[in-house]
Order: sequence, then C-alpha cells, then structure tokens
Amino acid sequence: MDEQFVRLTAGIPGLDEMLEGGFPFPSTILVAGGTGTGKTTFSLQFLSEGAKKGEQGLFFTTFSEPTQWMLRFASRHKFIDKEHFGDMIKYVELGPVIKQYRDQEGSSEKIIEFIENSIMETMPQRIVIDPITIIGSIFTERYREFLYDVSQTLKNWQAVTLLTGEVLPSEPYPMEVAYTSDGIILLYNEKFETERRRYVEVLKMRGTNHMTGWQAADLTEEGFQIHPGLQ
Amino acid sequence: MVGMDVLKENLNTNLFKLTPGTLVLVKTPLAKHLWVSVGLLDILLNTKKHPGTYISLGKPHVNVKKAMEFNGFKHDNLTFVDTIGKVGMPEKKGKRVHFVDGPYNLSLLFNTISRAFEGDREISEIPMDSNLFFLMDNLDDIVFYNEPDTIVDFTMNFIDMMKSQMKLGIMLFHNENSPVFIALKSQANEVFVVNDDWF
Repeated sequence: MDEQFVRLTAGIPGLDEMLEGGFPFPSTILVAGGTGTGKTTFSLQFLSEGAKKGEQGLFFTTFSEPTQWMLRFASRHKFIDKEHFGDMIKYVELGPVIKQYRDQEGSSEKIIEFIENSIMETMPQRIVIDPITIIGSIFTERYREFLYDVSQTLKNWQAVTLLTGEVLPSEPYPMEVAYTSDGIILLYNEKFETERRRYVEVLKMRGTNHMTGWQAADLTEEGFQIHPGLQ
Repeated sequence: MVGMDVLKENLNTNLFKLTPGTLVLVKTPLAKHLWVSVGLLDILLNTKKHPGTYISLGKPHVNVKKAMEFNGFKHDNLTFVDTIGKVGMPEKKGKRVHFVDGPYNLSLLFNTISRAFEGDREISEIPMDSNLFFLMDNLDDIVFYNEPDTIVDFTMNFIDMMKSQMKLGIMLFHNENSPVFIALKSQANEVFVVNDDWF
C-alpha cells in the first residue's frame, strides 16, 4: 500500500530521490545542523517549492527578525520569488509571543494557541519553525512536553512541518526534538584540511525506506543540491 | 491567496442544491480537506439549517471544531464522530462527540455508526437519526490501515444505509487514482472537484 502514502516533494534536488518521493504527509521533520550549515535556506527552499505548486506555506521565526531582513539575505538564492512572501508564504514572528508568555503560567498552551490561530488563518500545507531549539532555553523543565504538544498539534492540522535545530558541538542532534519528530535530517559542513565540505544525512524518516549515510551536497545561489550516492 | 470566503462562495454555488439521498464525492487539493470540510459544514448547518454528522477519519474532531469557531461558524446542530481523538488528545468527552475506535477496524466502525444513525441510545447518547447529512473526511486517511477492497465494502455499506435513510452523503478524498475512488465513482450522483485557487 506504499503507493498510497501521500508525500510532499522537498524542492531540494536529490532529496526526494533519497526519500521515496518526498516527506510523508502529515509529519514533523527535524532539520538539524551547526551554525552555517544552511538550515534556514533548506527550509525556505521547501516552502518555495510548495508555493510554486500552489501550496500555502507558513514560516514561524523564533528570532525577532522582520521579514525584510530575512528576505534581504535569502534573496540571493535563485529559488526565492519575492512575490510569494506575504502571499503563498506567510512570515510570522513567534519570538515576541515567546517573550510575552515565557514567565506566565500556561505559557506553552498560549504559544501553541498562537501557532494554531496562525494555521487557521493561513491554512498551510507546509510549515517551518526556525529555529525550534531556541525555545529550549525558555522551557527548561517542560521543554520535552512542549515539543511533544507542538509536534502533535502540527500533525493534527495536517501539514508537513520542518523544525530547524541548532546543534551544539557536543551533540549529534538536539535529542529532545528528535524524540518527537517523524524524520531527522542532518546538515554538515565539515572541515577537511583547509576547506569545508557539505553533506546531508537522512537519519530517520518514518514510513520511508530512505537512503542512509552522508551524501555530498552543495549550497550555492541555486540553493541546496544533494548528490545521492556521492559520499 | 488565502481565505475561507472564496472557497465557501464556490462551494455554495456548486453544492447548494444537494438533496437527501444523494452521494457526492468531493476531490480536494492535497491537505486542504479540513478547510473544505469547514466550508461545507457551514453551508449545510448554517445556510441550509440541516443538522448533520461529521465523521473524522484522519484527525481529531477538535481541529474542525476550532476551525469552525475561528471562522465564526456555529456548529450547535453538528454531531462529531471522532475515530482519532480518543488517544492523546485533551478532549475526551463531549455531549455531541461520539468517539469510535480507530479507522483500522472498519466493520466495527460501520456497525457502531450505523446503530447510532438508527437512533440506538446504547451506542450513542447523541440522536443521530434525525441528522440529514453526513460528511466523511477523508477516504485517503484510511488506506494506510486497510486494503482497498475492505474500504470499498465499508463505503458501499455506508452508501446503502445513507440511501435507505435518505441522508445526504459527502465523502472527501484527494487521490483520484486510488482504487477506492475508482470503485466509488460509479455509485456517486456527483463528483465535485475543489480547485486550488479557491483558497
């Protein structure tokens, strides 16, 4: 019955080939990597792919960064169509909401309610929360519970959600987020003598016979491109 | 383009005249069936004033309820049959919510719902026999747990019950290549396609 499994194409050349056609729908996927590995670019490529196909996207940023700043840096990529932003891709600042509720009782419910209201307003098929790990510093004790609730909530709204996660040098990926995710994609920018090389690894993808191991990747003005089989 | 208004206007124009005893298959764009359900429910419940039943096969009913409330749509005369929300959701009880075990056991699901439709109060405290329509959201959600033949049998039984009780039946799907849809197409009075640009 695998052919019945609905998938959303990633929009990242090479990745769909690794995932039997795309991300399972609905699902929450952790995209994790260190600083500068291209997590935000990866996510924007995913939303841009949807926008081209008429699928609504919703981008939550947990930084308090206005849309124009994000667009200024992202616009160097050829896959970005500025016309999509504000229309097919809605940009929502989650940072101020987190700050507003962080010390209040029931803060996680209020943040989830805000996320749900944004979803009901935009009716998206594709959602990004970038980065989710920043919330960990706020919900120190109830972080895992919050992540579970967010993950369940997002799946119940029937979308594919990418949660980006900053990886610390001491950990392979953010463990708390990994527990609640249906898929884990790791981005690497490894140092080899005097140069750095990019790799992508699909560590987990539920319901998918995915390609394993590190696959070579490029990050250029065209965006991310993966070369499956080239390690 | 995002919005419930355009969607509802198009649904209303095309589906307002549906009558009891009619089966309509509604093909929705990928991942848009929840919003199509909300638009259809508002037309049936609030414009046509028909009491009805919403059968959720792939998501907790609370999502539909919240989406209706968010859009300002009343749902007082709607009964929810929730096959998903029993597990892991905060809302466990509700007087107009009937929780039925999973979409992986379709004969149990059919038996339970059909008895509720016949007014069996042992099965449900909710009187569903007076409801004029049911909306099933959606058929693609049960293909993961059941073989196509089982789903066809389940839906055929539903159609027989619907026609004998003169209900309006609406079944949502998005995969027009599925064997289930192909088998059901000949039974439907209408196959209606929701366009991507109605959102």
